[in-house]
Amino acid sequence: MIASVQVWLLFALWSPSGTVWWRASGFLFGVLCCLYAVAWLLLLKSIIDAGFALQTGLLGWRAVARHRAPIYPPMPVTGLFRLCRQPIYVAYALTLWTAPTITPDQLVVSLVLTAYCLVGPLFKEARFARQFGEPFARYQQNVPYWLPWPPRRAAVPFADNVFVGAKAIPTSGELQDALRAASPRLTPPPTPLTSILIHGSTALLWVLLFARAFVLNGLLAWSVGVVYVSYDTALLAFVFWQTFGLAKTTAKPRSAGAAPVTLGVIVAAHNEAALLPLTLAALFDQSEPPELIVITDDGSTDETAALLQRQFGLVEPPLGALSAASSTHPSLHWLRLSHQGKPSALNKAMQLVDTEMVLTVDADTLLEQNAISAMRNAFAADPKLVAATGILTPVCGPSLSGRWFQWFQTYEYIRNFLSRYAWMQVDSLLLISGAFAAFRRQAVVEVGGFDPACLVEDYELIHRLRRYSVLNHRGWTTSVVGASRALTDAPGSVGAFLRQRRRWFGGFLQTQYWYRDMVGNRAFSWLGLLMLPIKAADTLQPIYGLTAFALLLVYLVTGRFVLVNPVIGVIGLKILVDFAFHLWSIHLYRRWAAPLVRISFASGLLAALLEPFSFQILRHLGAAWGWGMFLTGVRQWGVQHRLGLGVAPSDMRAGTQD
Amino acid sequence: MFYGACCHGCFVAGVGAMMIMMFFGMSRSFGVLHAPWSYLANALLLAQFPLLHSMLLSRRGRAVLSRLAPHGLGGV
Repeated sequence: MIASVQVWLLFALWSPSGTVWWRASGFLFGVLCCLYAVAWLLLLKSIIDAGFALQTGLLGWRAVARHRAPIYPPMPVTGLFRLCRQPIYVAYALTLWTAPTITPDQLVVSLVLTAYCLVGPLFKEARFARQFGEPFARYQQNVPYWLPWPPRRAAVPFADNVFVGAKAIPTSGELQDALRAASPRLTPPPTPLTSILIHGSTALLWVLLFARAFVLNGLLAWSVGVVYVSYDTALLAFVFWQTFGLAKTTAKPRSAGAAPVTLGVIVAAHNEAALLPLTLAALFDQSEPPELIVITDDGSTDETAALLQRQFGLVEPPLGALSAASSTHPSLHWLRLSHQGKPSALNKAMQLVDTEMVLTVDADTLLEQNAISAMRNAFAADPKLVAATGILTPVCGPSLSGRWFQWFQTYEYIRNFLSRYAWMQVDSLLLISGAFAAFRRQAVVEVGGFDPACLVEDYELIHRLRRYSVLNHRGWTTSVVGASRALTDAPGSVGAFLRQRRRWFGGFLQTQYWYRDMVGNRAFSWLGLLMLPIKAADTLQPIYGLTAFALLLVYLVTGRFVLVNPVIGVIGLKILVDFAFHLWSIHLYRRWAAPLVRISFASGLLAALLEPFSFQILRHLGAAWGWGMFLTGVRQWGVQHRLGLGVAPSDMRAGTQD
Repeated sequence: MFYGACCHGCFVAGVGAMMIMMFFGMSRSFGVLHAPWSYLANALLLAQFPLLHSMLLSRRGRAVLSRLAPHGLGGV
């Protein structure tokens, strides 16, 4: 009843602006009227599927009239709920966009309410997860969130959940129980009002700023761009401030009294026969080799098995078991699994390894000779350190597009690692690249290992470790180890790059949603009060960026140079700031991380000039696609074609420095 | 019965207003304010629906709701 009154207030008491942009006529009017009617019928159908009596309030008042307790309908899974989990919200959004009249009023109302239709059901789902438990988790796995397209296939490898996937590896009960207890995905806490307000205000601010484009003139019409540029500049200023002392930092040798830390390496591989010899050679060549190396073969169908037997002297173990040690390399073992995805494979290996530290290394990642030694030093020096990342340098391949992507990604990775250092300074580091990450094994087991339901299992695990640490007063920390370096294969084509960013951003949104109780939470100190609110803003950063760019294009195409000139002025200023930051970051990076590839100032400045109009747009497009992935719940991605390391020049693989 | 009539009356009024006003692109309504006050009033009207709706469906909100209807059924 209250919702009905609210709706009436909104629509009946609205003060129209008086501007009508467009009104359909003739045949088009008829078509739009039909679409509008169909949208309302879909809404009616979805309300019936959800339980008409419950949705309209009939259930409640009838129970009152009959003096009986209401009988609630079961969790809705039939009718339109077979196609997507939120058909009521989808149908309602359709009614917003099929009206035959377009006005600025309608646009603003449609944008705000569509945003609500996208985000609001997330809270409803958290309630359902508490109310219905495992059946709802299973329903979530099998039915997409919002858009019924593309249809979700059952038993998608990366969607497998250790609790619900029919083909899931039987990980130990201990790990499952720990994950269930520590994961807010499986045990969702209530969402604090602060978190709702922080996320909501980011969306509301975008709507208000975007609306200014239609009612204001001059630079203020591009408010969404001004705010976007200011936000990015503020982040750069923060990183500059926090990395100011980095130039004087040098790697600390292990102190004489520090106990040595045993270390095992897990290389999760699925059809990586072409690169495995290189990866293993880099591991065998370490200045302090690991005690154990486990090749976790995740159901490879290429030459991996033959390679491991022929070249590395391993005997094929039964499925799910660890092989005997290699006859040629005593530390090397082979764990053979059916294809379940990287997180499940890592979990299985994590349970079989008995070293204090575990290093996860992707099969397309080549470690520099002292990488493991530097990691051991970092863990030996700090008993509270539970996760650390090394410095990765991307390699994309020799093609023209490969070189283009490598150029931009090299500087992007530099900025990202400096940013991680900056956040580490305020004990808020969350991003540990799973391609090359070190963990204290006991801590990972204690929180339940990697979550197979997440698109970015490494990022999610760090959130879980940090949340668990605060809730259980462990004082755990995470770190970036500048002296530990590696080369990694990175996407070298537009398609591969967009797919990677889609997955990263989709996984980021998943994690941000699951861990929303930490956002704005004082118990998590800077992490809760600064880092996670910034991440909340980042959820809409691509939308801000793309909107700003689209508005600029519209101004250019329509010849509105009164608007274009001040906007170009702002962009010019931002490029100058980027120039300065690029120079600073390259200077620091050269000193701190002694990079594995040539890093030149001139090339960095050129990248700063071109990036806002090229690479950055692609990044935002990939991220916006990630929103789609998050909302539809699709969790499968295509095969990555390795273009970089397999064909990289040998001097690069050997680690030539500038 | 009175409670039921109120409940369904509000439902019909709310959905009906929404259906009609949206058909005309929000260009016809009972609001009479002019800019800049219309911006403020419209923003408040627009914000109240998602914010209050989400708040009332939270744990605390449902507890409040249940006290607003007979026999604790406000949350239904």
